[in-house]
Amino acid sequence: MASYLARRTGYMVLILAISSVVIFYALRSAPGGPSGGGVLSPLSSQEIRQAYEKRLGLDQPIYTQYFIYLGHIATGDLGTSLVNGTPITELLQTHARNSLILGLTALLVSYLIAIPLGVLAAVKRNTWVDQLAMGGAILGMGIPNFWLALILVYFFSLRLGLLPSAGCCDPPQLIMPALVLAAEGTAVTMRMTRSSMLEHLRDDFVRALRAKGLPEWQVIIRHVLRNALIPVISLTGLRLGWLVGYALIVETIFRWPGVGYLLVDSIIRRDYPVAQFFSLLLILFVLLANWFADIAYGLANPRIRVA
Amino acid sequence: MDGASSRPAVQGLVDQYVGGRLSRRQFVKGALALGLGITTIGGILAACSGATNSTSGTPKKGGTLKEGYDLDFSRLDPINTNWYDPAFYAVYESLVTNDPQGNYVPQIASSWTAASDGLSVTFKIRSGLKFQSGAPLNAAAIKAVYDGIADPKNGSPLGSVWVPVASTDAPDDTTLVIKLKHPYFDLFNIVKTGYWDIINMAYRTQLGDKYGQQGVDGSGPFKLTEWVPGSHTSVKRWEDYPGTVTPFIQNKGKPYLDGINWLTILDAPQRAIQIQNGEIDTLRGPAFQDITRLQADSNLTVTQLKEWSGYFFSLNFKRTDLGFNDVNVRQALSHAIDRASIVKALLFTHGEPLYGPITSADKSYTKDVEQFNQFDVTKAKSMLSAAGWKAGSDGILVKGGKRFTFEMIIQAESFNQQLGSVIQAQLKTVGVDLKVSSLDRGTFFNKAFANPDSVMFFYLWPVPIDVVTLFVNSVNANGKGPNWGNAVVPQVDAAIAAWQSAANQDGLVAAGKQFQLAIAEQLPFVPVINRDAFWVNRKNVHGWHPDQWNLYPYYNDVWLD
Amino acid sequence: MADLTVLDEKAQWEAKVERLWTTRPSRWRDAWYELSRNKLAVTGSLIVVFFTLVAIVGPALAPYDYAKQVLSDVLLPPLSNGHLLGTDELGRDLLSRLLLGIRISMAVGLGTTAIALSVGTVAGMLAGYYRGWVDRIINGFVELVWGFPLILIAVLLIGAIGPGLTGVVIAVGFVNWAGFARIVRGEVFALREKEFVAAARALGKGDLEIMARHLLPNVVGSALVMGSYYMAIAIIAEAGLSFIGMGAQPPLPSLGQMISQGSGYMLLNHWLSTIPGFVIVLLVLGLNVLGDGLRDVLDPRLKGVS
Repeated sequence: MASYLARRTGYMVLILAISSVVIFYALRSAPGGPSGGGVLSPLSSQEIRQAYEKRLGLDQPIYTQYFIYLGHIATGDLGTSLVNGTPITELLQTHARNSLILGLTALLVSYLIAIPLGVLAAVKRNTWVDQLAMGGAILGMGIPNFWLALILVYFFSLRLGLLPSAGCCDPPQLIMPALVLAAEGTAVTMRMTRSSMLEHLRDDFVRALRAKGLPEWQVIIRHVLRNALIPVISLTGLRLGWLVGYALIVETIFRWPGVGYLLVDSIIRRDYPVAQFFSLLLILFVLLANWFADIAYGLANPRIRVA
Repeated sequence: MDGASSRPAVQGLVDQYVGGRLSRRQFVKGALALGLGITTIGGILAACSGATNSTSGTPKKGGTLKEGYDLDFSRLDPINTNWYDPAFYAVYESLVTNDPQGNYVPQIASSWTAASDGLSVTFKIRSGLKFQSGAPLNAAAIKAVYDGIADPKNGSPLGSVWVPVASTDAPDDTTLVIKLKHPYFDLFNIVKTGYWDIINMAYRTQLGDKYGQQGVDGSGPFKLTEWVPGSHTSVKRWEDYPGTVTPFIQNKGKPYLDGINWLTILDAPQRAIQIQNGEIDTLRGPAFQDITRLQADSNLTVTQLKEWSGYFFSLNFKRTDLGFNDVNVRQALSHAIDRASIVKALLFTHGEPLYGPITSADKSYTKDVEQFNQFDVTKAKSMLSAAGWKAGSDGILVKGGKRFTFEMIIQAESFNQQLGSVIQAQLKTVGVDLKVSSLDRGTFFNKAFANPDSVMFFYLWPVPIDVVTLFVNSVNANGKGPNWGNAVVPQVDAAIAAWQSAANQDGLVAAGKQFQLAIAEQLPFVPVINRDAFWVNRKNVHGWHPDQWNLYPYYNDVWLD
Repeated sequence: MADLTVLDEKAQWEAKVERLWTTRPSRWRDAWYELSRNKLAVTGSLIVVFFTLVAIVGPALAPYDYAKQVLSDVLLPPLSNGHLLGTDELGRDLLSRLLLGIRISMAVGLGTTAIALSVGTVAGMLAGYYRGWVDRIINGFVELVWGFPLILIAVLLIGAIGPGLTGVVIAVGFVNWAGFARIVRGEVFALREKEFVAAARALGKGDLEIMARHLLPNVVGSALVMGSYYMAIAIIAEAGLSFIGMGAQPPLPSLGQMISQGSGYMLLNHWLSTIPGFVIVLLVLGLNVLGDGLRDVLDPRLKGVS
């Protein structure tokens, strides 16, 4: 297990290193530059723009800039936003917090809906309950989240005037983005819970427990569900990448100042330090999630480790 | 250039009317007594109309105003900003400003006199003023700002309109003398803008690039707390604000509001939903398609004003292969644009076609520009044909094996994209193949300076001729400034020179007409449309008066129920 | 003639291999039979076939030129005279744009999925078949790509090469191939231990032939199941990217771009964004249902399980 852990971790570091080079090059070789989006008046003369880029060291070859950047990171200096001069450490605190609030709420919502319904669908297999839940799930997988956002805003903000349409960070402002972000995950988790439940309901030990006269709900909740949840949990790890991706869109639509919102904005403005840091942060986050999912799955399922 | 209190009696009357202490009838009676004509009174009433609805009751202190804004925020550095935003009216003040009738009134300067030869203007500066940091705001501090604008290394892109100024002198704390190379009546139009707002230059030097991002030091009634472009700008009351002497501002002391939070809302329906829902209190720039809906909402007041803005596109004079250096080709393309239909469809008639560079609401507007640039496809086609362009097999014009195709860059924003699509479709009817490239902010301006075929742009400035000179002045061609079409037109340069050396109001108006005609005929850029300005407030907002002459309202008088 | 036994043995192997081969068509026939009995699969197929037909012939049948603007007839509601679905903010016929939009969205979905499926299947097969360092390298790439959130890659890539469908296709294809590679690799791991592979190898058949003729037919089913899900994902991703302005560029319509443009008029004429929205939902629904149906048919182990 220790060597597996070490290999897995080393691998993660390698991927992160490669990603950092790729992102650094992609951002800086993209057309445009920060001189149009932040410090300078976009109407400034070419001379002023070039002087500014030189001041930022952008006239140097990209690999030189990369090593300078690494040097700064090594000394704990993450840099500051070119657009508004805020230190990245500060941006990290506020935006990462906002994203975590949104992401965790969405996950929670998604589990609270998906697991009970998934269990119910499995237990009441092939009844109208099952069909309704699975129909809902397949619809949930098919609705693009930005469109769902439009529809929800249309009804809840405009027609009913119940919920604020955008912004941060009052609890009512969290409701719609969390629901939209949760939609797809809920659908997938519900399907997964159902199929995993069905697999385990066929197990021999279930029959044995029933024979022992245990109440059916106890069999299902305490025994079947516990086993059935393992793949569901590990699916969460794998799906965090998707969640992060969708968060970019959902945060942008609802103007929720999280990491995704910041990242899209910083790429558009060519705010290099912010864009590269937060891209890497998201990748690290997804890698870590996969890592935990792997480890957890490996622990639960010793056979897997060998592969 | 008369004295500060040009028409004190009228001003007093207007103040009372705006303040709600005079009824409309009393106001008209008073104004007639002062010898004003009915048309003038009507004009004043119209200018104040946005104001009357919400100025009743006793002002209450406290509360934070949430204001929606349809544009992204620019850095709060007057000397090097994109355009200035509403927050400039809260954190800064300038030497003089405009009242709701367009007269010049005191702000930091309490009065001024122009020399009889027109070669200098002497401003009396209010004594004892301080910046928000506590640094003294005296004539020397103002001189530092104006010298900073004149110094190219500070990067002001507006240097070309400051050229007539020879020097700024501060003989003592309360006297500021602007010396001119030649008469420059337009000076007031320049120093009243947000770009000439008075800032603490020492602090700007100290903060460097972070000035206007992380901190500002002005003398306005509010202090900056946070500036996050793409999201919000927030300010809080400056407790040591010394008050104002500006006549039309009712509240002479500290502002009523605890703070203001401006929110950038780029998504059009969201702006309407948020003001209807009460998520914001006031709004600048609802989408045109939502105006009827907002007007029908009894919780809201919608104010419609003329806006000093315009959409135009450039044609790069260096594309000689397409004949963009030939005025006939430029005119031909302009004749292909159906401006009236665009105003009707895209602006829902809330705007007007631009046949010359500026709106008909401007003091110096001349109807003579309307003889040019009228929609006439037949004429466009025959002019192109005369220039040697013949339709190819696919309908696109060809000349010597060269297809008439070029690229226009626009900023990625839905209205720009629609306008770009319309121009594309209309040019196609005369056989011109336009490719519209929608670019994000980080790319657009870099490309604009990299010799593009065509740039579509939108300007917004309280005196439009001044800003238009930037885009067409030959000194701003070749990457030196925003003359992206590299237009070099002697008639236009001559008109700019006349505008910049006008010695009085009549001279200014005459030069303004000359300038408009030169552009309408020579087309250093192709003007397209002008839109109206819309402001919306909820009924619980009082003392919030957007007016024609200032881009944004002042916040000194604003209070919330 | 001691070789006789060897020859005999070889023949037996050959026969076995042939038998394995002959079972294939009948298995496919079975699959077709199952498919037509499976309600889900039939519904899904009908929807997908319908949209495929629309994508192919729709634009040719469109009543108007998709880019033709009539500025005097903007924002007409559905069922207006001459415009079944009404017109958009520039007076363009919504139905004509929708028909082309469906073609573009389908093409992006199909294109990216075809690329991802071929690249992923080959990569997965190589990794699963050769194992060892080949597997380590390929799987390394798979995990690298899998770690990137799709939308993030797309946003970065489109930032670099500029907005447009090219960037969308590359980004989505780039991420999704890894999904196929993972599945195929796993299947091949199991398959290569099976008798018929050993038999084919004993017959001296080359690696390439074994992979192409013996392994490929066995993994194609799973790949197709995945394919219909991934096509749905690709269509949604394109729509999302177009929605934030990074996909199809005006005047070219894609479903996502139409929703995005129409959303500005949500309060005045919501049909501009709700109609293309319903179309996407239906299309993606069809693909997902088809995927479920295919899975039941081609992967009986999971039949009825999900």
